[in-house]
Amino acid sequence: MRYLLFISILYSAVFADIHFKETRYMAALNLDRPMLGSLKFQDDNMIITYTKPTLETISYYDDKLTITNDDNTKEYSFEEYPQAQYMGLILKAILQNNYTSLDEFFEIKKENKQVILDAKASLYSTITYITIDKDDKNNVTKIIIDMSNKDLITIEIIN
Amino acid sequence: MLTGEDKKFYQLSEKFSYVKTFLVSVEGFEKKDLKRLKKIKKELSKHPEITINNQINNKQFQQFKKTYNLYLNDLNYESSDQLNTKKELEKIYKKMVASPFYFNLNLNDPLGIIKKDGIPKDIKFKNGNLLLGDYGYLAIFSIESKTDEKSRIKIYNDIHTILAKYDNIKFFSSIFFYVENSKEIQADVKKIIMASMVLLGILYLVFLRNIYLFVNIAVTLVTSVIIGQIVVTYIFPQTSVIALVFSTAITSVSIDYMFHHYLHNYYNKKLGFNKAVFYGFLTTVTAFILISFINFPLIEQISIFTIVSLIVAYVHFAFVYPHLKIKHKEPYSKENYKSPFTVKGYKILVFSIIIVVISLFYTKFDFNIKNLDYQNKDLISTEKFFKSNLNQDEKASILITGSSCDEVIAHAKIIKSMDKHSTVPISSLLSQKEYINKLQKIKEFNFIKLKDELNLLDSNIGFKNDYFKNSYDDKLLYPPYPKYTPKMIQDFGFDLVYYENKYITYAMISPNKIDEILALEFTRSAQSKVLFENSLKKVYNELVLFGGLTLLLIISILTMVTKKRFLQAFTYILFPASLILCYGWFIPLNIMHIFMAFVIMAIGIDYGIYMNEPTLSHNTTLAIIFSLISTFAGFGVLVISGINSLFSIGITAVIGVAGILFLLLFQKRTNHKT
Repeated sequence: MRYLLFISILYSAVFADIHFKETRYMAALNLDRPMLGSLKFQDDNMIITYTKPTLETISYYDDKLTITNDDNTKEYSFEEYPQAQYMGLILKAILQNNYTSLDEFFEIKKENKQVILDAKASLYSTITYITIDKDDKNNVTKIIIDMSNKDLITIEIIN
Repeated sequence: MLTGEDKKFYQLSEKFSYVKTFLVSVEGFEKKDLKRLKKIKKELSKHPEITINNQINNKQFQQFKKTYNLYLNDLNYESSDQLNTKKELEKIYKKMVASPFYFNLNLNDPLGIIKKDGIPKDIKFKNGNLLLGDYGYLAIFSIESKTDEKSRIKIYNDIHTILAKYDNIKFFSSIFFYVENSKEIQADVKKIIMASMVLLGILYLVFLRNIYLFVNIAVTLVTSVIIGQIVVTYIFPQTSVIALVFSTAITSVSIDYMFHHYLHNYYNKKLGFNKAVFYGFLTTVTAFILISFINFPLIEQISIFTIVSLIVAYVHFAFVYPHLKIKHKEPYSKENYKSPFTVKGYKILVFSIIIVVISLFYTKFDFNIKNLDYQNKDLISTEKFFKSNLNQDEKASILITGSSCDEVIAHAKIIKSMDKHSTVPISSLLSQKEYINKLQKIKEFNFIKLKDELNLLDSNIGFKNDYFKNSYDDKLLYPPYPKYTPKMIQDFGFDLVYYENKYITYAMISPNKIDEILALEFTRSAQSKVLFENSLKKVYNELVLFGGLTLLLIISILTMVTKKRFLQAFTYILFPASLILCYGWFIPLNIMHIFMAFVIMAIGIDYGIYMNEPTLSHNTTLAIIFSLISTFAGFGVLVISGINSLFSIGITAVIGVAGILFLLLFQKRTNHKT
């Protein structure tokens, strides 16, 4: 019994969902779009489930992504949504503390509990920089993505 | 080994990045594998002569792409009439407020009129890093070392030292060929020279049984080699190692002169001038003089060396040695050699002629100069591995020229349009023609109408008022045509070389388009194989002309000297030549086979002339056998070489000498005293 309990704790620690609050400020609309969701990694694939404003699940795979809403799953290639691929890759790398996969695109600066990713020339037209806040245990608490078109995406981890 | 323009283009092609590219791949697709690659990248990029190839992060080039975005990419619409601005804006609005994906609105082109430049399909990424097929992660570097041998060895050693501690990786640069091949060739050459010298030394000692004579011969041969080397290196500052090896081998020919003088007792008795040896020497030297006119550096070097060293050796053996008081030792046996069977001369002639005629149809030739080089199998297979995984297998490198930067770009565009699968880096730039065409299209597109609609509709749909006022502005629509300078293009990360009033860049093209593209006057092959082939093809006519003249000379001298016995003496040329041609039925003959065939014929005439001396039959036979064995030891030892050109010389010599030996032993002699 104790053994099973240990396994279940271990499982939930490794595969626990990361709950977050996302706010997308869209400069073109001068509008904040608040969203709630959770995120988990399964076999190295990233699965994001938004619960608010609508229930939708985005799954990032190696070569494609899918969106599920109302039991309806649609598949998209990264050629169709290259930006989704980059954003997914960046988010995944940040949450997994895997900055090695980002150094092609960003200058990585670490200052105390903050990591700043300064976009390199290849991303100039899309992203300016990303700020990542971390707690004492090196867990990500907040991600702010400053877009070149003045949009701002803020992701706050709430668990 | 290249000549004229081909040499210049070969040297130029070495300046381009594809030659300097250095690839490293770590096996596996796990995170730990990527970490290893990043570690390697970090370590290698600390080296002052290694830089990470990173054009995607080239600020100047990204700025250029942004400025000419509208001109460099196709448009999704033919004209503004095809666009319903209101509908498009509504769609965008919906995506922004309702899609789970973040929608990145591009203020310069909010309606998405410009097609996005996607990543080429054959380039694969994982975790933000390039992949190499099914093998693992890939990193691309550039080696900026000098092109001299010392610098190349240093960078080669540095790279191998850094990467020695990493397992399961593959790495390649074409610079490795220079270093490894040169190392192998030097080791091979050392081995051959040593083997040849030891073998010849032992043979001479055994044949002559005269230490005093042996020491003198050694001094003469060393002198002839040194003087030959001095003359050749004076004329050709970069002497091929192959010429060096050949120089040792050719001493085995010059020693013939000594054998004939010594065995015929010219050093002990005052017999005067040995005409037969002189004729043999004169013909051989004249043949090499003719061959030296072939405008192919390796052949020129070998011929000039041979002429000088033969003259030095002949002068010693013919004029100095009779004064050295060398004691004559009687040959091993006074009995003449008796063959167990003999073949009549005319039968051999008929046989040889038949072989020559058949060879006209069946002998194969090989003009691929790479086949002359040392075959570095491991490196060739690593190169093939990278090329096939990068879909560059079989692609041919070419140079594109132009009288101005604009013209080079225009020419690059032509190549790209002719071969969609080609890699033409500079074609990413905007050409004058493209600019003019696109400008016209932009004017006709009616962006003013779109701008008005955007400004009118923005707040109605939900966008900020005046949010689109800078969209499709004049900076995007009407930038001035770029004033290209070589520096600007180089700063963008492209290869552009200015040489003899021409701007030159490179491209990699598909094999099925080679002929069509190389037919254009502004293209040139940059493949060493093709350049060498060109050089070879250019000397082909000279090879035929001077080879023919050499043959004519040999036949004339032989006719004059041998008179009635001409046909029998002629077999000493035709029979070995026919055997060499016969070898060409199975193995394609390269230029070194052909060259050595002429050398064998030039040597063969000596035997033809000597065999014409009926009164000296016993000693002549012995002298010929000795010199044949020494020729065999001198040239034949080259068959142990791993360098194909030396092996070709060796195998031709072995076949030729075997042919001459056969004639000597089994050809029925006319007017021969027994």
